[in-house]
Amino acid sequence: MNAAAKHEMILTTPSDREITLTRAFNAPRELVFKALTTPSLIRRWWGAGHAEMTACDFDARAGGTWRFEAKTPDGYELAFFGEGREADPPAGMVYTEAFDVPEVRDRPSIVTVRLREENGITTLTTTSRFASVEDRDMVIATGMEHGAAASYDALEALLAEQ
Amino acid sequence: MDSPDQLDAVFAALADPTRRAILARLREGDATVKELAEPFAISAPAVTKHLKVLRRAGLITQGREAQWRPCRIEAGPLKEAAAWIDQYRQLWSDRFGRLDGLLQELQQEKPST
Repeated sequence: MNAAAKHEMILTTPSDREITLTRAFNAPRELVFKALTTPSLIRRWWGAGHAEMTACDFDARAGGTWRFEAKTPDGYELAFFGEGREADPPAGMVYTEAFDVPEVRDRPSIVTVRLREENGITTLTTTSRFASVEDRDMVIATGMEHGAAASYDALEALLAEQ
Repeated sequence: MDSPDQLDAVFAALADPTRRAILARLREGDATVKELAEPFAISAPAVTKHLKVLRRAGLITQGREAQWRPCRIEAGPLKEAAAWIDQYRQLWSDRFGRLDGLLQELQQEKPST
């Protein structure tokens, strides 16, 4: 195995409607792809201590569907769902994603996942693209309403990173 | 919610690391263009360009004194878009941290060839 290099996630906003996340992993991309697409494995990372997954189905193939349900420690239930557009294991996939609340459940973003492997290190890039600027704003507004308090603490953390 | 145009400007402004660093500095207090330029390996005119972007996004205001033009951070528009982006960043950073741990576990169970 590679020397345990610490890989940091990078977030960028390549356009006004896109958010891109990039993260490297010390693993072959077949395994990364498997962990991203296999429900029993998704359950082991997606909640990330923020929520416990209560349901998980995933099929990014054209015509497939997916749905994640979770419950936060304070009892709030949330769900995300979408449709598969294209799966190209282990190089990547494309699917739609929407937060299942009335305001935005019909405003999915399109998520494009790409995996590149070099010297045993796989770099994952995911780009979420909102259908319109209006959709983006609705998703942000709704996310803020439903998410944890939009606290100054979060802003402080963002700025403190510099 | 802010107007879409302003949110666009906020997104664009936050996309740049130098501008985020300028905002971080301004959290500590007002500063002149010269003071803002000092920590960066860039010229005062370059800083002025960044300040223009930040001003258009409504993230800072600038005084009128010609020589000094002290800058001040405006928390309002930053708070919504930046707080949302930061929540998103934190959540995915934690998810990828867990995924990283899982991938290590899986490889220990079945060493890859």
